[in-house]
Amino acid sequence: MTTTSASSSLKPSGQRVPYRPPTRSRDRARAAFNSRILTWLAIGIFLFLYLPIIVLVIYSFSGARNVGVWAGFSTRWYAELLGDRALIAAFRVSLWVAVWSTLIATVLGTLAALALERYRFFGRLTFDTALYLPIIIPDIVMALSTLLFFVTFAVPLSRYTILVTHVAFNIAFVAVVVRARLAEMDSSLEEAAADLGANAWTAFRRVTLPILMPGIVSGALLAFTLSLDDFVITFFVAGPGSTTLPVRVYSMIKFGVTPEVNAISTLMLAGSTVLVVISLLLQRR
Amino acid sequence: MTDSFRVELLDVTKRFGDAVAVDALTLQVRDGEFFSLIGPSGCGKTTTLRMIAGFEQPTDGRIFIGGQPVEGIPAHQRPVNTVFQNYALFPHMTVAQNVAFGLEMQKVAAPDIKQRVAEALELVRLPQMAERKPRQLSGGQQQRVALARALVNRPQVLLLDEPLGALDLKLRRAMQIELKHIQSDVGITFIYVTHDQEEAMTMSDRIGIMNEGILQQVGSPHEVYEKPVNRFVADFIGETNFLPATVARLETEEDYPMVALQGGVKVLAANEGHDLQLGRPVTLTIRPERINLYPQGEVDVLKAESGLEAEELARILGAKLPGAVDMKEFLLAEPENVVLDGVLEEAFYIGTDTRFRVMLEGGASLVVRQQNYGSRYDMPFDVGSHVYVQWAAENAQILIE
Ligand SMILES: Nc1ncnc2c1ncn2[C@@H]1O[C@H](COP(=O)(O)OP(=O)(O)OP(=O)(O)O)[C@@H](O)[C@H]1O
Ligand SMILES: [Mg+2]
Repeated sequence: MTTTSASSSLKPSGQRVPYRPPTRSRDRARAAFNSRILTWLAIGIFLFLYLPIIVLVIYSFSGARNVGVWAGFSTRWYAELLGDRALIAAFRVSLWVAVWSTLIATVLGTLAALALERYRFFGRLTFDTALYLPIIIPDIVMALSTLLFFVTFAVPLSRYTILVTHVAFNIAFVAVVVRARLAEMDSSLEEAAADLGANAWTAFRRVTLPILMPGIVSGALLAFTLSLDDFVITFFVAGPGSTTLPVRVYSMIKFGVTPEVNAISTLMLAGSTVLVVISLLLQRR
Repeated sequence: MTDSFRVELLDVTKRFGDAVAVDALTLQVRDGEFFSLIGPSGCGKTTTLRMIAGFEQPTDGRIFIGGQPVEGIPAHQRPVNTVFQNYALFPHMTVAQNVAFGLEMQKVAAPDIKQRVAEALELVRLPQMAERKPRQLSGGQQQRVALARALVNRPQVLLLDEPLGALDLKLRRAMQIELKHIQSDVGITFIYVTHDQEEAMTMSDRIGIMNEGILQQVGSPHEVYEKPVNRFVADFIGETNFLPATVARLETEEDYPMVALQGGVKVLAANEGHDLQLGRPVTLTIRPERINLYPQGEVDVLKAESGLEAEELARILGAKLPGAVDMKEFLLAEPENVVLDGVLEEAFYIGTDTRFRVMLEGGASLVVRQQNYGSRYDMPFDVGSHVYVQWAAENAQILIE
């Protein structure tokens, strides 16, 4: 049986389709066509994702009083931001929450990662799953449940309740990033340190910690960004006088979107992007 | 216990759950000795090293280092250093920092550290690499850094877990010689794990052969090769023939017992302290290179031995000599020789020597290696020809099991 009849007999229609051997040029043409489609698809997706952001950034530099009207390049709205005392106050709360929640979550998240990766203990699997929950469950569920918790135990809402909540979800993210780094690390390095006379603490300080450091810093940056940008959860657990930047922006929008919102959004976007890029670069190291 | 041994393991057993990784292992390693542990994959070599280093605790038994029991002493307080199979160099430190690590832990003064690190790198011939990171080194260089990092601490004992495992043959050979030199220069006790029997033979003072967690035999390379205690050791070290046999006579004039091979062919064989009874089934082991092949029939023996014609020799020696004699008669003049009829079944020329498969009278089959001298001494044998197969009784060892 020749190849020709074999392939044509496989046609479901039963019709004999003249067999054409695949040629180089045909394959090449198809490959070129496929790659062109993929290129356009990629461009399309990027436009879809980033066009609104690009528009927002552009209009933040517009001198016009109304959003969506271009009236020449101006940094007027950025200047205005600096004079907005409520906004500055909100920014300071955000920064305070972000710094402290990052510090606490980084320490706790790193310890959790070490415990999960290096030790076997009772309830390890449960702990493992529970740790990842904040990443998986919707923000709104997390927000409502923490609010319910605070209300049940009559904890007054303040910047401290925001801090506690941010620590809770940031631990998960730090732990994930540090664990990835730890899993890559050869555990015989710790044995080598012990072999050379280092006790457990020295081995951790001189070997494990330096090797984990890029992962820890990257996890911390991620935590900082997430804390700074979080709206949903913060909105629910923020008390009076503890408005964060995203919550403040939301309330500004309620009175109509001003170009000032565009400007503050652009700044937040730029800040977050820088942090995430640094975090990614560190993870690649 | 005794302090004449550097490392001593007494009845050490290690279980992982139900699995027995090391089974009642007793072993003494002397001071300054190059001791190798060899055996197939999973036989418990690494586990043994890890128990000496302190990374695993024995389920049973005791370990002594320098005469001191070490149970309860954590790894970082034991006077041993390890060269890990995968080197385990600290990736965030330079070569010099890696080597200095152990000295820093011992709180050696900084100027001394500097000097000793330089010396150690000199020893492994890597002084110019001091400021590099491990990932900028080749596998062989990393291995030498791992060695320097362990040696610089001047431990009583150095544990090496297949440290040459990842190297190509040529680098491996070079490193074997280098390691051996370092060991004899520095005078540290080496416990060296490998699954390469040739490597162990060339480097060790003594070798321990393990199988399935059990130490089978300990001895010099010569002992384990010449006098294997059982079939496993004979098979693992070098190449050998196994012939099934039964004990036929316990005492002979030649002081060797006699065994009957397949087909009832009776031969003398050496017995290393096994308890033999008449009729007991045993195994005979004979190394292929210890067997010789001779052509059958009349041979001019003198010519074969000296390369000279009989008349010529007679003239030189001034005596009448026999010319051609019957080969078998000639060989049997040595009473401890075993001479059997055989048929050549296969021949493989492999350069240094030729390997033959020979069918003995009685039906047993043997592999024989004849070195190729590349001279007129080489006897060309044709496949299918009849030959005399000869070996000395001492080279045929009786094994029980
Ligand atoms: N941590 C462990 N848990 C369970 N079983 C183990 C553990 N470590 C080793 N074993 C088992 O113990 C046995 C001996 O292992 P070991 O690593 O000592 O072998 P080895 O002789 O070093 O082999 P190789 O030549 O392959 O390195 C193996 O069957 C192995 O599966
Ligand atoms: Mg091993």
